[in-house]
Amino acid sequence: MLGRYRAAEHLGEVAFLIALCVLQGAFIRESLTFEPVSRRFPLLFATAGCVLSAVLLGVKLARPTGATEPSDRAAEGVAWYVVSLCMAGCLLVAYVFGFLPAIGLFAFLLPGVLGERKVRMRLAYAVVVTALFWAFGYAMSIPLPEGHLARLILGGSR
Amino acid sequence: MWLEGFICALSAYNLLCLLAGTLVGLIVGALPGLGPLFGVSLALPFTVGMPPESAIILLSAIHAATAYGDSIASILVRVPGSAATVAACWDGYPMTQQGRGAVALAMSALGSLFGGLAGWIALVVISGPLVRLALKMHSAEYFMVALVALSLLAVAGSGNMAKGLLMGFLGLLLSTVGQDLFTGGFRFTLGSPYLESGIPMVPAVLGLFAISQALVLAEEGGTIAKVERVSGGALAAVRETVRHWATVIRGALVGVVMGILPALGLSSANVVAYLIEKRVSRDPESFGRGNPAGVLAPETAKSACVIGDLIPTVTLGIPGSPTTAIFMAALILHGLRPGPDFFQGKFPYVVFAGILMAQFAFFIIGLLCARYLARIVLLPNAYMVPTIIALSLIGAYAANYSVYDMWVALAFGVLGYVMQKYGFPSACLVLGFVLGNIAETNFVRALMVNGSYVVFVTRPISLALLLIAVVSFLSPWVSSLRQRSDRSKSGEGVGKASQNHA
Repeated sequence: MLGRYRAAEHLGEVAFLIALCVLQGAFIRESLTFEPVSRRFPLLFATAGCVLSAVLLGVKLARPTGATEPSDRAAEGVAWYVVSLCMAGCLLVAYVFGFLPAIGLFAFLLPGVLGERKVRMRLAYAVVVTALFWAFGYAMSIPLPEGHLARLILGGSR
Repeated sequence: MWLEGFICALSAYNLLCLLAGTLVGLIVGALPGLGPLFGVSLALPFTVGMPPESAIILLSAIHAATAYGDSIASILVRVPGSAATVAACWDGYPMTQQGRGAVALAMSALGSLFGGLAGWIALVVISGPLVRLALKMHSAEYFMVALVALSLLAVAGSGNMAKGLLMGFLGLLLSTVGQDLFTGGFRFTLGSPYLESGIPMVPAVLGLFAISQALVLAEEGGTIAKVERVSGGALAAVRETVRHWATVIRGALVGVVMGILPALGLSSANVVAYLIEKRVSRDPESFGRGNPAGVLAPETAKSACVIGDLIPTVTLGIPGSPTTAIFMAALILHGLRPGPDFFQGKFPYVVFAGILMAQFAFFIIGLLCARYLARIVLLPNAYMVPTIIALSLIGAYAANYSVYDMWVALAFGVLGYVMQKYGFPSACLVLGFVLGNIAETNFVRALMVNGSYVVFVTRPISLALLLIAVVSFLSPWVSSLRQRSDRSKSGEGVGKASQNHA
């Protein structure tokens, strides 16, 4: 079990280093199209970063999988990608319905995803969070994103 | 004049302004993404009808308290309010996890007070010579100062210098995204108008530290504190601060110097002070695991830098940062002319007295509240995670009122999580990102003005800084090699001894 976990960690780091190599390679490629004054610094940093990523990748691939230090993090909660997807969903909902309804929905659903079973508690929390954000936007005169639907309704009513 | 200044600043109305400014500053500062710039700009229109001295006292209090308030979320939930408090969470948060959040907060208040006092003394006593020295520095020297700070990358990559350097290079590379100041051309914008002004700093920092932290907390479950109750408080913090008096002095010096140099400012002072402290420490391994010096150094530097920033503003009329530009606007609005003629009449002394009183106001309130604020970490992560994410999103949005900034925060959050998981230090990425622009702009400007690379070694200050950068960059590698050779020698010694014994 631990061996499989270590292998996954090892693969993850290898994938991250490959992604860094590719990203910095793309930067090098685009840098070459710039004027000499603009290209000097990005080319230098991207080349240095790319070489270093390649060296680290080589070291990582040469090292046996078991040598990766196991993480001491207890996996009691929810995986990072689930929370990230919830956030992305919240931002997409904000596009349509506006920031306040999206944050209210997010504040109601995410505690449930994270293991909170008391619906009333979650509802109260969502209401408080939404009210606080509304008050914050109002007091600081920050125009919170309205969303296309709200804009459509408000536009129609005007 | 001094006595008159203090008497005027201590009137009931001015004290009320001081209290109101401190409270507003603490609240604004504690919200992620909202720093001194936001607080001072928000309050400026309200000061129009006020007596000038009250207006300046209110703004000084907001300025100082916002800078301190920024650290509260950074220490308690690892959510820095801005780039200025990034370093505070590296040791402040582990202290919170150990149940010593109240001590860390009180130490932050103490460090901020001492830093503020050091900055105030520099402002009042030695601002003239300091500014004259700063004026002797040209682009070549500014580039070298950035290089000295970048030479700390190897220290920042604790345990893995190669990973630290790699992240530093990535940060430097990301800082080049956007419009090139010298040619006007766009670099790495993918054809998007949004990226033409570069990757926004606040959403990137919030993502790297706050959202990545929320993802980690979501995975861990339970509560932030790994203990059941919060221990310690003001007395323990005083003891720790007294024990680390040299740290306070070093942090204050870094803060004042970096505050005086325009553009280097708050974002880098806290990180540089932390890394210097780690470099000089006899126990660098304990940094990042709740070392009190890791809280004191950046907090002292940050607060000293806040006041240090004001030195070129009031003495030369050159604002060192956007926040001091607003502060200068307030001074002009109320009939004061910052510059060489500043020290005339009673009013400047009222300003100085107000700045000094602001340091004590946030310190007292901060110290009183530390123990109660620290209990926040006993809340379940099921509620902490959505709170952190919601605050980070609104903080990212509030910087430019841009929905895209929230997506940037999310993207950097995932990047920060992956980096944390595989041991790539995000401190190095932030250091590279903050200093990249300063280094490139001054490097190109120095070359354009002087036409040759020789300028970096012919100017005495530049040469001295270059030597410091080289020594600073190489010393961790040299000490690591020395440790390795010492270990192998002692291993041989043990081997021989066991052979003799046999």
